[in-house]
Amino acid sequence: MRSTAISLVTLVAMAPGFASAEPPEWKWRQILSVPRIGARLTAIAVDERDPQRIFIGTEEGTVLRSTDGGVTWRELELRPFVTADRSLGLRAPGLPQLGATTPEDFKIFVDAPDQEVGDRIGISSVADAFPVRPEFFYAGFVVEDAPFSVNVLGAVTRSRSKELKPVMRIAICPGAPFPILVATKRDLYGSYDDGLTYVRLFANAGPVDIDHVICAPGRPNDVAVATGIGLFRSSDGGLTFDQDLTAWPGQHATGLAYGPAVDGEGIRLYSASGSELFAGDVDDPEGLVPIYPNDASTAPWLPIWWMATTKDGEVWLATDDGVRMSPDKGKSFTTVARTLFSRQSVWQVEVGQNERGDKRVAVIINVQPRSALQNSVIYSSDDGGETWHGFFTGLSRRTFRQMAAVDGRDGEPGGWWVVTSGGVWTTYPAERHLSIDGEAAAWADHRLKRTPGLYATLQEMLHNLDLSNEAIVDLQEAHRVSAWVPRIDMRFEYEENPKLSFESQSPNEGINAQRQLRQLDDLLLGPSHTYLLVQATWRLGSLLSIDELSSPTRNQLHELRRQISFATEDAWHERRQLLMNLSEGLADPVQVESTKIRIETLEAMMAIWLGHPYGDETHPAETTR
Amino acid sequence: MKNKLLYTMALGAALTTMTTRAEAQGNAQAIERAKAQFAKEPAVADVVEVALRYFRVHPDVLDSLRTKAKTRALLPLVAAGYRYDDERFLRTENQTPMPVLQIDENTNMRNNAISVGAVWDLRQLVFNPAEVQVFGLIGVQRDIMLEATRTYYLRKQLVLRKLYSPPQDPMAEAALDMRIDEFTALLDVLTGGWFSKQTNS
Repeated sequence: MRSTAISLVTLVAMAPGFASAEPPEWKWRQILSVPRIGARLTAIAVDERDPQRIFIGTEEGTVLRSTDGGVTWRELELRPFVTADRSLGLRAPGLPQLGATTPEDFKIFVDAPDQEVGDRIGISSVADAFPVRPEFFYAGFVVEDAPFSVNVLGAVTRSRSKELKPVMRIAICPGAPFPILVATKRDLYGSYDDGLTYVRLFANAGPVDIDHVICAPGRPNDVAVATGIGLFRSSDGGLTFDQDLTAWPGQHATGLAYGPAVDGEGIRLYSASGSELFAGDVDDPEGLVPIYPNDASTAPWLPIWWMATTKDGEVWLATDDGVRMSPDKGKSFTTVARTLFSRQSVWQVEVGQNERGDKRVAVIINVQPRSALQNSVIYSSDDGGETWHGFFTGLSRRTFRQMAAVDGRDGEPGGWWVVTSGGVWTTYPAERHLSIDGEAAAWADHRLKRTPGLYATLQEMLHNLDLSNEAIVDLQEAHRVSAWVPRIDMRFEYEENPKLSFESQSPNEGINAQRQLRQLDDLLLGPSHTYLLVQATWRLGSLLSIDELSSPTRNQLHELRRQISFATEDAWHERRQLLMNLSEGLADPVQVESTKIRIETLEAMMAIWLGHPYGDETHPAETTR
Repeated sequence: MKNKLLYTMALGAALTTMTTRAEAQGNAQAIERAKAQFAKEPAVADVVEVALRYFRVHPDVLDSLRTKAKTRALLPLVAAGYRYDDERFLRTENQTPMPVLQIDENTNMRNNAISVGAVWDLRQLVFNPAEVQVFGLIGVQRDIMLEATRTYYLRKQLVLRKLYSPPQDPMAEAALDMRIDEFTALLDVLTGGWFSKQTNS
């Protein structure tokens, strides 16, 4: 992915519209890192009144809230029984069956002599040379007819099948009955107590997606929700909703934004439905009217995924074919940096401020199709879209999900926030404390200095779990070499045949006067029979083919290695980030204790996979600072 | 007038100092209470260890399973059988006309047979497909570790909040207690009741 991103940057650098401007002065810092499996992040909202208040939505439908700029986080559930919906693939306790080679219970059978008994252990492949006697009584084990590669390994590495209801978007509406609105994939929730508890406000019958929720700036009771069957609006802060019947009702509404009204007073609502954009003043009884596309120069017109507006009337559209911009509240549109963004799927466009307090526009581009949501990059422009440069300079391999911007005010700086699938980054400066917990800082500093590097940690973990590439190759080689070792079949039979025979002969009286009687009584102890067969079978074909460890099993092992590596990488990053927070100084005892507890939980997880205490003083460390 | 102002400012400063000192003392007490409470509870490393053992996916268990997967090749698969065959033969023969002879034969042949078969698949000493299956349990192990550490962390955060800044509203406090109980119960589910036993003891 990294190489793809670099290639794209190279291409962009050569394309018209790209300026080799100085990189942004802002420094990105990570304020949240979560394990990849179990809590992927999907949405973000930052309170414009207090940028220390950050709300993050997760894939499993929970909200992470921080009120201290991202030092501590609290996970809040939209529904009381969210535990049942967690995306962890937990299975019932106990050992699953290990596979097809595990014998079943001992069984006794009575079979017809001509019945095939090929499913029984020991006689399937050598039935001709090694027949079972007698045929009609049989005692032994029965093999389940299933390939070994199906079962546990496949089930674990298979993608999660449980339907998730990720948080799609969060809106902060100060002054509304529900100041926090959270749109999940199916439901809209509102919170009246600063995000601690939630009530369900809106949902459509059936599997209808919700994509966006926004509230009008300055008029928080005006709420709009974009759903799979169109636009819904509320004028009472989300207590009741009505479907908007003027902007393609029944069609998928894909983007929403509020902006200043055309006449300068009031508020204008923009709603995208596929590739079309509708707009209208909130109080206009005529509703929304189509405003885009209205000019052939902006073709091709592909679906609009996100919109952003500015106070001076600019409307920015993120579409599947780049960016469109209207400088005049939607009267006319132009294609932005056509050469740069043409045929690029732009997932989000956001308007904020740069380091100097001037306007900055940023876009998230998906290099691959939208469905993949991978290989995303962020570009920004400070001159109204004329020139663009890479914006996000943090070290993250994650997919960008959403970004948020807050303008500076009253001497306070503005900032940008980017949420990736596994972390949150910001340009907003960290709060500096005059009185920090020196003991905690020393504790963290000591641990930080002795933290093994990520590469060393990954290598050690994979080695310990026998999941390194070398270990997988060794396993494959062991399977190949096993072909030289025979399978031994041994059979012993003992048989005795006692025979009792009686025969009498009576001569005919008419032929011979002398009666003659001859009688033979014969008791024969029939021959006993002892039979011993030893047979060795070599499956030499396995020397050439590696059927057991070829696809899919080998792929599954590599997939497992990838997943475990990601989880370790996440834990390593999160622990290091938290240690740096502590090392740089925290003052609040709750922040300090909470951070230390989190660090200890991460170390406990790492210790299991590494086979020794992690962060322990005795461990030979590779310094990372 | 000036003296009165100075007196008021001095009083204000003294009150502020006293308040700050009281807050600091309160914080110190809260820290001590938290440390005392946490000292009674199991460490997260122990919780993870017990959870993995409870779900039988501890690394030791996985190692044992791998070893057993290989060494089980030394034990043969055994098949045994017994056969009883009762065969009777009756024959009557008359010879006519010359010489006349009648033969009666009655033969009974009983067959008893036992058979024992054993199969050693010695290839499994080198490689056993069941070994590969054990790798699948690493994923289960990962899930349980993530769940255990996450639940532990969420619970302790709530305990911290209760100790440092307990809600003033009785309903909010009761709700907080309920959430702590819920996460305690989840930890008990993950550890077979061990967590509560340790905390109570």
